[in-house]
Amino acid sequence: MNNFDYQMFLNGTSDVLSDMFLQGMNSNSNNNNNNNSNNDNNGMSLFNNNHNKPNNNTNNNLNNNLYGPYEGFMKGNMFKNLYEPFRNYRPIQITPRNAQEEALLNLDQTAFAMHEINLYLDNFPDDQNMINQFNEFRKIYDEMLNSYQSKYGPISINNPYMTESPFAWTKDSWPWDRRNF
Amino acid sequence: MWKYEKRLQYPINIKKKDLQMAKYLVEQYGGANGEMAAALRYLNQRYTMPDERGKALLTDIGTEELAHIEMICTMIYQLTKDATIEELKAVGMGGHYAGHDSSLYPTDANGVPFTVAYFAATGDPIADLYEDMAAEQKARAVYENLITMTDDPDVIGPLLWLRQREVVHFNRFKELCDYYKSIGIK
Repeated sequence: MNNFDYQMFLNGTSDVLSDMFLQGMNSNSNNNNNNNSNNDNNGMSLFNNNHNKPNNNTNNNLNNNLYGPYEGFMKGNMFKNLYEPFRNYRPIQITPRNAQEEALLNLDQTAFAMHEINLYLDNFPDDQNMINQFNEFRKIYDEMLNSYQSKYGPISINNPYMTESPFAWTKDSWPWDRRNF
Repeated sequence: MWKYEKRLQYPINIKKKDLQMAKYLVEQYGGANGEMAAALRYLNQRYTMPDERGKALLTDIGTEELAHIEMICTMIYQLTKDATIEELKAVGMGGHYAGHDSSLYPTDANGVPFTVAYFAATGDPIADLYEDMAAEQKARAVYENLITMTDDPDVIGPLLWLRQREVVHFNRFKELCDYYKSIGIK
């Protein structure tokens, strides 16, 4: 695994990366060509959330059948051999509007990658490469979850940031009310 | 047991009210091939799967279907939020309002309430897995019908995503079914 790229991914909520994100937002039309050379032609050029890209193109060292977490999440499918597009529809791009949405998108992606490998391993429990891949994502997820919950509020009831009154679990808006992430 | 995570599996942010589309979408909440039927089907069948692989796969896919119920409900909720009685009556949702006000209720697109008669459990893992594969294909087809009934990208995005999940689940069930047949499980 490429530690540098994972660090980029982990730091998705940092101020530095937020600045990169804002720059990306302001120059969408110019930065699509730089990051898509390794992707297939299934519409990835539409995705301008480019600071997730370095990770996407490099974390498949263990298994060439896996998309990166961002591309896999957009498609709803981490496994290249199973992906079936519908007619000429392309996955809809998700554009975070602020650092919190960005952090939640990163968390969603990583949880999805873990879940996809989980389903695969249910059927193929002896695949050590995929077990290693699962654990790489799990480590990232744990750090992302901790970072998100320390800054923005609870995702899980089991977290160390709910010590003050009022109880934080009930304070934050519920997912169906957010009209965002 | 289960634990709730305070997030959707895939983000939903629908900005435009569309009562007609909400009325169609409820098909995948409480309809014959909807997410509620899927979740209950797999979580009910898992106990009699013949080995650890089957018990794991049906538990994990059944659990994901619970998150899909939440996604469909969120879409219906956002599409109908702040609708007036007149707007509801105009799309044929007056009957829904009379019984349920603005709350959600698991029915199909014609208002027929959800029933567990939509799914089976035979105790035969091959028969159950073929039912599961068929259920995923039918749900995929319904999602394709729904996708073609709207041009709102805020609605199409999650529907495409949910459709793709049916594709993945179908393939995982098929792998398990083929494996069981290969080792002689009837």
